[in-house]
Amino acid sequence: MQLTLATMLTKRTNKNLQHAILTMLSLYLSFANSVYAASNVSTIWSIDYRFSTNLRDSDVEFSRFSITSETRFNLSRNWRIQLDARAEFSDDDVGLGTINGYSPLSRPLIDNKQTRLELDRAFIQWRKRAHSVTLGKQVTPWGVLDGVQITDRFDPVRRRDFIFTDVRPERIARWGARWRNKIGNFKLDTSFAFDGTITQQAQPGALFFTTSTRFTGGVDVTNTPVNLNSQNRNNSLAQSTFGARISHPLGQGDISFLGFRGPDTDPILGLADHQPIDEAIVVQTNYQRRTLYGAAYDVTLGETVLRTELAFIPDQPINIQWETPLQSADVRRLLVGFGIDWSAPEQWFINAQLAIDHIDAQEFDILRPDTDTIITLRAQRLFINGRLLFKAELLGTINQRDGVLRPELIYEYSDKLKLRSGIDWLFGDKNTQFGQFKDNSRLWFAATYTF
Amino acid sequence: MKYAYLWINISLLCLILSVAKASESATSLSALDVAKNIVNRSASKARVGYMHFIMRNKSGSERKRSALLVHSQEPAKTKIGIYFTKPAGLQDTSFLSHDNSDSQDQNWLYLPATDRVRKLPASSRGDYFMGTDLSYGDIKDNFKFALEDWNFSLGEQQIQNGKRYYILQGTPQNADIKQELGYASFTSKIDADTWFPVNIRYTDIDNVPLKEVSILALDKIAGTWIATHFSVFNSQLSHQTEIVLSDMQYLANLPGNLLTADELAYGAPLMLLNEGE
Repeated sequence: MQLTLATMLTKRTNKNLQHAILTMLSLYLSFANSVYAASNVSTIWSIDYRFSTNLRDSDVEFSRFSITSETRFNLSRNWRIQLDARAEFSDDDVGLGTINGYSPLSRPLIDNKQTRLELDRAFIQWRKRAHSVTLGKQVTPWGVLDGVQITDRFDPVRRRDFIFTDVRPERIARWGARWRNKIGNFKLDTSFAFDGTITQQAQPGALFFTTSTRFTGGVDVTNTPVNLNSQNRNNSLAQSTFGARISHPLGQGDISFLGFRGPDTDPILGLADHQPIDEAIVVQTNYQRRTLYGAAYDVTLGETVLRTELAFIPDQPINIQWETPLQSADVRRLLVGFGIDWSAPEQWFINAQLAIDHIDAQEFDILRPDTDTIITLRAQRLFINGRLLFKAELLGTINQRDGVLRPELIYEYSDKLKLRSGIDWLFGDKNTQFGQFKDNSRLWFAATYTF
Repeated sequence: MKYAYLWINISLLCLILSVAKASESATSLSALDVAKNIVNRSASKARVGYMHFIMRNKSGSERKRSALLVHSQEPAKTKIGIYFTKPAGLQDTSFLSHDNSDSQDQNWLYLPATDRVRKLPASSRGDYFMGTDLSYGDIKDNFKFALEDWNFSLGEQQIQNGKRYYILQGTPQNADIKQELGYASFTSKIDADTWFPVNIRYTDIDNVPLKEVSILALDKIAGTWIATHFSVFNSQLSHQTEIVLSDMQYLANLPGNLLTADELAYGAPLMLLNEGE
């Protein structure tokens, strides 16, 4: 028994130590580079502060300061190493998100309520001609649509800010291996993540904690006291993700087919086996594995680019309404997406996308509509010789009549400093995807200094 | 002796006639001939170098960009790869264009934040490139005036410091081309030795003076003239872009897979990077 405990402690210490060494190495080398300006090492530092005020009561609800470093070591023509780290500080109602979905190897080095230090990327890459092998903490960004996740579901993402991130989706890198090669006109991309980390959610009670019953297994978490327990994540084969994609030119465009199996991006909620008397019910979140088969095609036609994606998940786990609460089942899910980019007159850029998300669950009473129809519309244009970017987007679910309107201005004050401001105006029923956050409509500001 | 004088006279006559003929051939070039000489100016098959942009607004505020530029010319395809190295906020952002004479043009952009190479719609030739005063058309034309776009005419020749300069003028061949280019006319002073413009003045589609391109330095690299320093001043916006090309090299053997969309995500090609950049 003592031996087992000692082994466990050693393992845990080793993992933490390993993580600590890598993070500190990244930070140290970033610093060393700025001092010694080594020619084969490049580092980008970015300091960002952003805050928002609620549109209804002007309360400051969001205030986050972050420092990120991206260090690239060009070891030779064929070898390179990349180490990225992020430190975040927040004292607000949004928080830094849950970390109980992280595997031990991916956990932040420092994690306090208001401070977090994470290793974002850490990989070594070998490449020669059209072949490359990447080992380490990395992402696998598949799909051709813009922020709408049809086949792009390999990586876990951050949901602590709902979808209000600079880049959508904001991917979380995992430990694994990726091999890309090209044979003739066929491109093969295989990826294996042995890291069981899953999508990061907002902490319970935080501003963007999901309360819509479609995400809570039908439980009204705003009126029912609930304790959420998460399934432990680890680095086992049972929680890994493995997939492959093959691509080939087709006409003027490129077609790809892919398949992967791994933990779902959304959790299934179930009642925990042990329920204390006279206390809040304990709900267990599980991220079951599912398989996705998909295809994508994009083509340039003059001043437009057309994109389309199709995904089929034969074993999509979802919560269902049953005699007892928080039951789940595996159903068939079909996702289809279309998108168009248009380089419009007067230097406007227009992006429009339509996605249909259908659940085939005739034998079950499910907690979401059978079919969701999602649209995204974006228009943007540069002004003042590229110094000022105006961007406006509308994201919404047509069948639920909810959504968000997001006008935004980005001003490049200098080569290093960017100032940004915008509004996130949410609308819809309180029990819908966007409408659940409509009280959080906000005016936000951000300043980013990059050097 | 008499024959000797006669011989000298005949020789002088021949010399005068040949000079006159040469002079006539130099002055008798039509506007189209001049435009063809410019279009047929030799171009290297592949070249690489650094491109530095300095953008100044009317208050004197400056923004700077540096990028590795890889240019490849094939019979029916021109490929341009631009890999930004500065400022830090743009580092590793890469842009690739394939201009095909027999099929659709293709553009791709790699933004490090998205981790993905994205197909871009082909920009209109009149759209401005990355906040500079150069249009996409200017970048692709490489100081040449496409014969299928313009109707040409010649102004009065100029001789300066013993060098001959043609004044070439152009108007778009039709309203669609005018709209697409964003120009109603150009006037350019052409160096007859290099067939390179010394300057180009453009008017906008309403024929109001728009901008002036000034070539400040030319370098001959592997037998080809390349503008290594030039500026573009937009008189309507009082905005200037100065472009300096450095470390330009001719590439005899550009790897075939280098200027492809798949390669874009790997960043600037390490084999082409010089230390210190």
